[in-house]
Amino acid sequence: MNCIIYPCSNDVIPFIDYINSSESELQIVKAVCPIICRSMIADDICCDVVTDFRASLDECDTVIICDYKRIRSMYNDIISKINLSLEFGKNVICCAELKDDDLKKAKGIADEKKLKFEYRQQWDYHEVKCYEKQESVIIGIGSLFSAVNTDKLFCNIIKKLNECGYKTVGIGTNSNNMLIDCYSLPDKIFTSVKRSDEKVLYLNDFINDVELRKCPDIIVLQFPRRNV
Amino acid sequence: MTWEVAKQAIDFFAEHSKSFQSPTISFYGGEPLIVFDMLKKCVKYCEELFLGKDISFFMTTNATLMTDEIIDFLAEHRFHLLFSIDGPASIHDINRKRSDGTGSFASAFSAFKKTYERYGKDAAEYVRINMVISPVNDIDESFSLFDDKFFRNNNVVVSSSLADDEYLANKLTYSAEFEAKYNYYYFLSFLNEMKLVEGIKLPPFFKYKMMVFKREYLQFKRGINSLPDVTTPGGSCISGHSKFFVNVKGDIFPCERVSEISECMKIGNIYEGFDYDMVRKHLNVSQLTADKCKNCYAMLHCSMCQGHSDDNGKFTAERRLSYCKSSRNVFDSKIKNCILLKETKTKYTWRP
Repeated sequence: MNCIIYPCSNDVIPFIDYINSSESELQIVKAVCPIICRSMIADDICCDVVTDFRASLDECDTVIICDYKRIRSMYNDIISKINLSLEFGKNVICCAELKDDDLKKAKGIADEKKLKFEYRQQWDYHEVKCYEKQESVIIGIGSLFSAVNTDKLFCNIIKKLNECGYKTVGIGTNSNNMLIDCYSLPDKIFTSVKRSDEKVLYLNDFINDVELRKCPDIIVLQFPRRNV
Repeated sequence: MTWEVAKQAIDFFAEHSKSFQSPTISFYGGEPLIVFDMLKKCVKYCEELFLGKDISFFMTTNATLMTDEIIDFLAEHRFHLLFSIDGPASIHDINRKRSDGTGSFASAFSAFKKTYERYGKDAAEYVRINMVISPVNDIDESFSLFDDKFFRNNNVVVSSSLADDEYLANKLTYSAEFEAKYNYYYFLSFLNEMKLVEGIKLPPFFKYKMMVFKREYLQFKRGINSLPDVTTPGGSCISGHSKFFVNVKGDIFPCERVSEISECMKIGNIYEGFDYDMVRKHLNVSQLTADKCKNCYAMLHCSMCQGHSDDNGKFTAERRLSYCKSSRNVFDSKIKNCILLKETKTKYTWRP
């Protein structure tokens, strides 16, 4: 499937590289960013970077809306881009968090037009069980220095381990991970849960759940910056 | 400010911050809420123009014009707000009066509380108070503002500054009583920090000052090996580099704190761009006093900015040197604080 991805930023480049260099059915042909952000996008991106979203729609059959949650002011723009994509008959894969009403509306339009609207978000995770010991090897990565791009590290380690023949699953820190069939750590573990011992239990339980679902040889776990 | 000037200033900023992910726009007055419609228009335009960037808005306000509609707008656009509240009504109302001569404390403080509540759990991060302390007022009375139960129930961030007489014809005088009381609060802050005395009641910003002292102490501990071959005294910014201020005519200044009527503080305008000759003069303002600065023990810790060399529109050495004593006093105080923090944090072991 030829895809465009929006809104493109340097944060999303490792995921674009991963997708385009893997055997994924998705192929990102264009990364679209707001005009003012164009000069900030790194040169080593593996696809064209453009600013005209409407024109890019003509060159794809699927639009990937990536996680943008650091930029609150983009929400209305994201909604309008989703609606425009559906209006022009494009499938949508959305990793950005949407309000319930907007999600329902987008799904409604997609159903009506017989298009695919895939909403890839964190699991709604509630249970805390007892501590379980994993069978898989777990590799933790995190950023101690601002210059280290842990998303890039995360994608490259998973890719390399898979190439070496290990069944590898990643658990990352933002919803863009779901573009590369990885999981995203539920925010709840680090925001709602106050006590450290409870956080450990939640994290362990989440990892255990991933292990039971995917049976990987290796789990690559990306820690949010504040938890390293 | 007309919309044309505001728009051009925003465009100028966008053009000069292309590689910056998190631009910030601050609104100053007078009182920015006098032109609330203009402010709304600016915010809308910025959000469109900077779409994709993490833009933040800041505003300093006296809160006298705050309404529910305005509070909702500011909260919705996550404005960082600094409320100017100088103390309880008896202090605040001395300098902050309405056009009819009545004091503005009651409405300002009420608006502050309402805004704080409207921001919910993010309030401490976004809604703050700045208290200007004037030496002509009783400092204990100023601080009695914090006896209000609102401050007991909420962790409000309060900053303070001593009244600035930089551009006043009649300079402020600091009485011995004021200085004694002010320093006593510092003394209490240290006691509190050292946990030598329990139950000390302190105005909120003294806790912040202690954090600043600790940060300075850590910098002090790191030290430096030697002075670089080429350097400049501390204190001055690189004019126009990390921020700039635009006045109603579109003239550009290094920041909002310098005089807008001073020719030497003007570093360009939004139509013709930066005046690089003037920016160069700002960068090299310390050359006016190079010999003295090179031999000054506080050179790297100097707190004088370009504005301190502004002598009625011209940079002069005399003007700059007139601030040396107070700048060195600030540095001396920092050293004293660092020594005190070091001494009290050091555990000595007796060895026979």
